[in-house]
Amino acid sequence: MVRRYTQEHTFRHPWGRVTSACWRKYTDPENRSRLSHILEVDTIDRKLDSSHGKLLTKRAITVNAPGPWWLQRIVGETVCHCVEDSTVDAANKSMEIVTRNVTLKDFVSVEEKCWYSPHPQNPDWTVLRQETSISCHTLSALASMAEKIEQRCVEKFQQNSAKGREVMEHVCAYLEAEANGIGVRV
Amino acid sequence: MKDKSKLASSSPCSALKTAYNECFNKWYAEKFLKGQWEKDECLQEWEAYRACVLKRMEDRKLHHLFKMEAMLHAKEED
Repeated sequence: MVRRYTQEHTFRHPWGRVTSACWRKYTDPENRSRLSHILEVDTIDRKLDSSHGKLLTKRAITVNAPGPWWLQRIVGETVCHCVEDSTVDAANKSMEIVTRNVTLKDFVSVEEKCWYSPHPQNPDWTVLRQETSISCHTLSALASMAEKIEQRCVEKFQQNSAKGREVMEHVCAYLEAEANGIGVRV
Repeated sequence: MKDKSKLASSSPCSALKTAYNECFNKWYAEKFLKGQWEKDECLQEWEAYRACVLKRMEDRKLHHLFKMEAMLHAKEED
């Protein structure tokens, strides 16, 4: 069974600032304590399409493995490695990010797609559209347990993506302060 | 928990990563977003950081995983 859900959020900041915040969200030291489930983020590939103004990036993201501690004990892993592919199209003001897990795939598959684009009614705002799909692969005898784990995964992901949006708002606020010449980070 | 402290504290690439990210963030906001995308300006920082990260991934036997993933998804999109 696959669980899918979509979320939408409007940032009251322009697209350029919001996408700048995307790059800083995991890497600025002041956000690390708020996103404690993210252990490490590394850029492993980056290509600039200089004729069309497109930036393609691949990042490796290490997160705490989803699920309760006893499941981590069974699986034998406490961390999960993910890959994030993103395309920024500066000319058309769009950013698309797709994140998938590359380890623990025998147990769970998660795919998250995010799109950032200017708000259709207000060009100074930005809309984030997010689609997440999660499925657990377990023996059919354990289907009911798998379903509970899936539900827990979904709840955890929703909590984490809410935290992620809070951090994005925070980064946008200090980028705005910097742009206005107030060099203070709160 | 052992993995967590190991990852957070002793990443041998962290200084190179910080140098590259700072350069990239500046280039992204001040050049790329303003339409000056003909040239990536952080090549030196990128090469140094990338070499470190790839070496580290190879050491942790993660490199082939990411390559396989890339191949799989390239096929799906064909």
